[in-house]
Amino acid sequence: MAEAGRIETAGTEWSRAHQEGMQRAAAGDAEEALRLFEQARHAAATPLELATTAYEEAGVLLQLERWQDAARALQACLAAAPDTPIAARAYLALGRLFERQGRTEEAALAYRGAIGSAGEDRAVGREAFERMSALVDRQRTEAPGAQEQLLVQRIQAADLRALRIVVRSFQHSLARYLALLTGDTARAAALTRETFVELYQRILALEYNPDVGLRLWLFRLATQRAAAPTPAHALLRRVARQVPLPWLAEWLERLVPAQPPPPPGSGLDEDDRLRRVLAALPIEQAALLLLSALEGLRYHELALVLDIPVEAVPHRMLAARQALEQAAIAAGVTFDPPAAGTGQP
Amino acid sequence: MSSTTRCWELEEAISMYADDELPQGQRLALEAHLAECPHCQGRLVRMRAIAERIRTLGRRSLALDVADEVIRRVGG
Repeated sequence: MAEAGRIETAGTEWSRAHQEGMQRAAAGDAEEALRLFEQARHAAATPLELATTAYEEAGVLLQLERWQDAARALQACLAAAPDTPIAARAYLALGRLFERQGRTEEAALAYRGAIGSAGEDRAVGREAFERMSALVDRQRTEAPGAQEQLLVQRIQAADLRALRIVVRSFQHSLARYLALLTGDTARAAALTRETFVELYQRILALEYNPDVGLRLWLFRLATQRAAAPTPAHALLRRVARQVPLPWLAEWLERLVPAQPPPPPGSGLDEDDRLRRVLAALPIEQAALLLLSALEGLRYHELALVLDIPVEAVPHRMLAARQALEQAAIAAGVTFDPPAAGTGQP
Repeated sequence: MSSTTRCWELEEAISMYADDELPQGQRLALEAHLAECPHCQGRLVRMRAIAERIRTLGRRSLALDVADEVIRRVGG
């Protein structure tokens, strides 16, 4: 996003931090760039300086795939200097971000904002206009989810090429989720395969619901499969049921823990310890944290995937965060952010 | 947030804010509190740091292609 909104303020504290931040961003040192932009924001003396810094910060956050933080930075840019060329660029970036997230109405609004603020910046105005036109055309010719419904119809007609497209579209995100949910890559690969086979069978049984969509349905099926007891657990539970002593039944259950979180100094690096901590959480808590962080699912989508009331999500999400934090501390995992103040509101 | 609100009472609101799920009215009130409260700022930073660490783990993702096997399993 360099070059946007260049301002003649060489020599100021803002100028130094901002320029260095752009250099670090160009060199691929995102964390240092964010730290410098944070400094620049505090040193900004005018709304335009503030907006320019927020815009550059958004560029780095977009590269890091921190979509929500990037959207927040772009909105900060718009709030600081509305109706300026830098705001037009922020609107354009926000439109692209919304479009990527499938939020087409918000994307169209953002493109309209870009056109309205572009002024002399014809390149921005033109791109925003073209993107908005394409969006409107798409909305006119395609009902929401039309492409997906077409794929589902082809699968129902035994067209396995359509199934292959669905598998290739979702397998990486599903496998990534399952690997962290279970802490076991071999099991994650097997669950990924089984989930797609189940999806196919359910599509043939006409259970596809366009209001849910394939993506959320897949995560729902995968989570249910991951939560099902393994053969070892099932056998143990059968034995435990036949034992009339509750303490013994409880003890037998504990014989096959999911994967106990490792103690500090267990020889694993921090990432591996965090993986083990995640996999040892109750499955619903791990699923909430993973689906929110990795897939960016909103609370109503989490409720749908995990089959819980939407109003229960905020409380359970907080409980999941607290449980992870506690277990992580016990395992010697730290979450200290690399730069102070990156979470400023 | 009223002046008598305790920081621990805001944990859920901060968690929702970190997920961009806090309704607008509460959002403004929380932002005003955050601007003055280093403890709650720290909680927010920590919550975002956790999400970022999870995303970092996710970037080292499991590379696999199960398409052929799925097709075989369903009889293709």
